[in-house]
Amino acid sequence: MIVFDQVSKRYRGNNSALQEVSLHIEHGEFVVVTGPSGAGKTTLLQMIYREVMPNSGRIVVEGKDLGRLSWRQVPELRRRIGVVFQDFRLLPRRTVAENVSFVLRALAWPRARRIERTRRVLEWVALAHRAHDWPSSLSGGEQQRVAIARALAAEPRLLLADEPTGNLDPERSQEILGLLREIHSRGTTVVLATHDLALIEAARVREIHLRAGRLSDDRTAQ
Amino acid sequence: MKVFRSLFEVLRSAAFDIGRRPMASALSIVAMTVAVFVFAVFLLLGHGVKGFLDRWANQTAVEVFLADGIDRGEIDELVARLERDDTVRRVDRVSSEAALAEFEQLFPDFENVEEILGENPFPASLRLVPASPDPERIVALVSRTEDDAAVAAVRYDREWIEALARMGKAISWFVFGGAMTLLLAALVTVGSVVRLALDDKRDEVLLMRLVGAPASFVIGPVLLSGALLGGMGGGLALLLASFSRSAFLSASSSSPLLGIAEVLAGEGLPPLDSILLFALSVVAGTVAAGLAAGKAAIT
Repeated sequence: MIVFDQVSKRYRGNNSALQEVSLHIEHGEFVVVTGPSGAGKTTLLQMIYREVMPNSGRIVVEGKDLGRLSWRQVPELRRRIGVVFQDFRLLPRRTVAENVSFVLRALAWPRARRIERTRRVLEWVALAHRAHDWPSSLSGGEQQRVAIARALAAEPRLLLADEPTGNLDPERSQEILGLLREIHSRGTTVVLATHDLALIEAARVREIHLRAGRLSDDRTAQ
Repeated sequence: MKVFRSLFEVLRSAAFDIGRRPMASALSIVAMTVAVFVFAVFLLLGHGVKGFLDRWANQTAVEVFLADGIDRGEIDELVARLERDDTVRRVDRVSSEAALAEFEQLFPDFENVEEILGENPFPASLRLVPASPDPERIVALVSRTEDDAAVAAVRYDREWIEALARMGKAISWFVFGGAMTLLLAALVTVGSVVRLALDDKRDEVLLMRLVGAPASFVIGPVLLSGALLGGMGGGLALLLASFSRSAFLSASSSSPLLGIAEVLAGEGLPPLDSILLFALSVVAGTVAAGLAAGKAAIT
């Protein structure tokens, strides 16, 4: 599903984010990308949804070589990918339900299907009862669950989560991990980037470890 | 169906953008209304004054005096040649008797000029009404006619014709220049409002790009909100111009200024000009939005 072949990325000032990274993630896997801050985890995720392009190497996602995608084809790729961020990125002037249905509106889903899908994903993340509340009235854990619901709204085949528990306490972090496991069990490929050791320990899934932009370890859970 | 749903969403999003900053949007509509209103008034006055000048110009005549001793057949041939000329709208034959009668009517004190001189001093002539008051075309017509063997002399009031043409051009440039200046001001206002709306929804734009919303869904509402602001301003301006014209004519109806009022506003704005002005405001709003948004909406 995802192939990185000798991928390198340097930012301005010769700041190397990734160096000759090669990896392969199969459809239906749950993978944790670990490493200290600045190791290149976020860059790796951004490359998968083509927010960042490599300086060298090849990336293939869902059979598409991202280096050969035209700008018109990028939205098509992104419709298959859900992304969750550490800072949630919810729209403050839209309710919980509107935050989720906004994605479907942007993709021109029919109204009835949109309402049904919004209700369903909010039920999954146990927030159906907060559908008409403002994001600011929710706790951090709840906001992240809304962000996950939003990422799942358009039925992506791949979910990327970039430090989704970075702003949460340990208990809420475990809740989010449980949610990601459930999403994975429904057939969605999950790639979780984190440096939270407790979370990595609890996840017990394949771990890709980055250090200073290089892939230093790739081990499957025992 | 998906296309209609997308269009509906774009329209909805554009309306939402306009409603997001009601005061700024209202200001933008007012700016466009003022610009198009003044444009419409300039056009209205321009049409009135130009119509008046055209009526004057249409009274311009080129007098063609016939050579001595030419017979009726030669005169008929000359008239036929002139009638075929596309710079001539009409050819009137003026007999020497008709010329004398005209003179006596204009100058009643000299009504016995034929008795005094012992003969009618006015030769038969042709009076040409040019198809257009364009001085260059009239000079060319005069030059061609003077060369004809059947013609003794050609007279026309060159200075008057050229003055009328200069006046017409000056009015056109004044209308155009004033209108463009105002339109530019309106463009800047509409552009600023659209840019503000876009800055307001930066998070939404990022999210739309992240989830793979088509570019049309991102840029469409921006352009459409500009078009709506422009169209609303233009529509209001045309209504206001029409209302102002009626009010002006009605207020002048019982005053000595009625004649001037009818010259200035009597012709009204032709329907085609109204449609073009409305279309111009829509296009101006769209262009302003596109320029203001620039790459921000798509990158």
